[in-house]
Amino acid sequence: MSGKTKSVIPGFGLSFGISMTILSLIVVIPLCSLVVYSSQLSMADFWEIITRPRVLASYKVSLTTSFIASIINAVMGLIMAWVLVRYEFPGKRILDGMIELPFALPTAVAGISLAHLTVSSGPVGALFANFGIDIAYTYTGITVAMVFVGIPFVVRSIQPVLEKVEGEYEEAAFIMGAGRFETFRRVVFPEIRPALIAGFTMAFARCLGEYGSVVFIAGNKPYETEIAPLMIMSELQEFDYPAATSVALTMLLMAFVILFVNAVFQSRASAIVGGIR
Amino acid sequence: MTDIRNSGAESGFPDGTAKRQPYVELRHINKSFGEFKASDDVSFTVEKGSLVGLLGPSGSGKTTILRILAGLETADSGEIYIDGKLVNSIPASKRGIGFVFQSYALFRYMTVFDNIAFGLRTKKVPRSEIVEKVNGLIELVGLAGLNGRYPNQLSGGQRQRVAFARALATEPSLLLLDEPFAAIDAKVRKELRAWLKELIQRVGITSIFVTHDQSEAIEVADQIIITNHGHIERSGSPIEIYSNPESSFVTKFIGQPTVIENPGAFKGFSGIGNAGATAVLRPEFISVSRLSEPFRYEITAETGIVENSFFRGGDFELRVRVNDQVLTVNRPITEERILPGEKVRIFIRSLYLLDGDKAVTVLNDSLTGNDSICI
Ligand SMILES: Nc1ncnc2c1ncn2[C@@H]1O[C@H](COP(=O)(O)OP(=O)(O)O)[C@@H](O)[C@H]1O
Ligand SMILES: [Mg+2]
Repeated sequence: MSGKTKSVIPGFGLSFGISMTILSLIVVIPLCSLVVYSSQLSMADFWEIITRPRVLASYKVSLTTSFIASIINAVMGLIMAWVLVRYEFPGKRILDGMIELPFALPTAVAGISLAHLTVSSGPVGALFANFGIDIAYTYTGITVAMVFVGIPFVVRSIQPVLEKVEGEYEEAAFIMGAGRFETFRRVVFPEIRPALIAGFTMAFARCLGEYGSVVFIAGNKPYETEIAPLMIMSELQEFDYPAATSVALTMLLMAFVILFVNAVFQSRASAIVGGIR
Repeated sequence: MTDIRNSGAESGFPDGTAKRQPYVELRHINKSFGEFKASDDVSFTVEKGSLVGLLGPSGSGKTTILRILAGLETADSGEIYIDGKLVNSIPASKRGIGFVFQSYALFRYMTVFDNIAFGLRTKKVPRSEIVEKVNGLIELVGLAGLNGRYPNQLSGGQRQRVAFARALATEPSLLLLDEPFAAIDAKVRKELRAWLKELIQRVGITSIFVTHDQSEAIEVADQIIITNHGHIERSGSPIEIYSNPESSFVTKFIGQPTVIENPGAFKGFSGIGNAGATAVLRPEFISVSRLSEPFRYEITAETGIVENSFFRGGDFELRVRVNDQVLTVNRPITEERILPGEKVRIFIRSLYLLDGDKAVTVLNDSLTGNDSICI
């Protein structure tokens, strides 16, 4: 007993047990079932399913739009977090609260309303149609939906970090002759970069898997605007569980890669600020 | 009111038109945060090349003065002169100032080298010159070999050295340090004080540092400026201030003061002050001896009971109850030990009698050769 460091939460054994149980019930077991289902297939069959041209096209759609959406989210999210942290203005509280809306709203509701707005007869869609730009049923539409879904990840990652960047940091830079832009680039940005990367990757992973809010606006034209999650759905509708889980497994792998890249960045950053232990 | 007597007396020209012009001068600076007056008619001067300690209790407006001087805060009224130039409207980066923040504000994602090089890079100094200069500074502050470390991989003392080197990199003519030792553990602090003083003298830069720790100010500074409630209470050399605090506030702030009521009740001080008067004693004004030890000024000595005894290393600090008041006295470890409960003889050589804002030294009658000794 004496050798252990005392923890605030009582009963390490109990709390650890609860954590592991929940984790395995809601995360590990479902993931394992994916593997189990797919393993009914031979390696060759598995490969054949996940490389069907239509499936490949859907990966391309999903990856491209998710990536573009996440880039947009990173930029917009950074600006929004900056505004929310650094300035006082009427309605700040309300705007701050609205950031979470995409989390709270049922995704299908968001999808349907976005689709309605952006079809060429809809209010926003009509406006852009004048310039010959179609939003709904194109990459643009998918990206718009994904931006909507992903924005909270970026804002909420950066906000707390930005709040902690001391004013003295900027003052120090200012005294040493740095202008606003240089101070941001060399002093503030490195501080928020890990949070920005975390927000970007989480948004990216989320956009890849997003179904509800995207399918309505996507148009779902085979080879063109079919997203990868939709492929899973259509396999399921044909009761081809092994095929569905194979595609799902592939997407899971992509998500892992994305989160792994993030983890590498984060651990590198925390090695710098964490210091010697 | 403001006391610029020290510098005034030295230059002999109280209005600042001296041939020895002060390097830094604040004139009637006022600054309020909302209702709160953080700087209240602050005026003082600093000689070129001197190391000045801005000393005062927490919240007395020291940091505010430093920030106004640096240009990080704008004064509501008053003038700031640096090297004879009015700098009120000159931005911080053009005032030729190096600033060491209380938290150091080192850039966490930059190495030691990059932190120190920051100001040189913003000034577009050529690369080779930066490398040479920064390495020289790293050498100067004794951090050789740590160029590639990040701030969080350094100890508190090493961080202070980086902050110091970074502030010096752009060759400022005035160095401002806000509580430079506050973030350092007590053991290293003493060592760093000596180091910083030595280094500042070697570099020869005019410096002002803020501290709430009087021993720090006394040990490090050439000149001390004491702040209280946003105004300057007193300024002078450490010895001057310590031995002649003058104002009531400084008397109660400097040294190890014990405030006593009704000093007239103590033997040797009969007749001073009225019933409501207060006075300040310091341990060094009081000697303590056992009743069995012979004593010269028996008549003007008090007897008291030792209530507590604390070992302080070189001596014991005794709390002695005399006349229903508790006095603090030091007794060297080399003398016979006095234990709590013992009855002792207390002789108060002098005290500071407080009179409104002023403090006056009063000697024991025995030492002034007053009548009491003849009775
Ligand atoms: N930016 C500010 N806004 C409001 N009050 C402030 C600000 N800066 C300082 N103060 C107030 O001014 C007083 C003096 O502060 P400061 O100069 O930091 O004192 P010190 O450094 O002597 O502890 C404090 O009571 C503080 O609360
Ligand atoms: Mg302060």
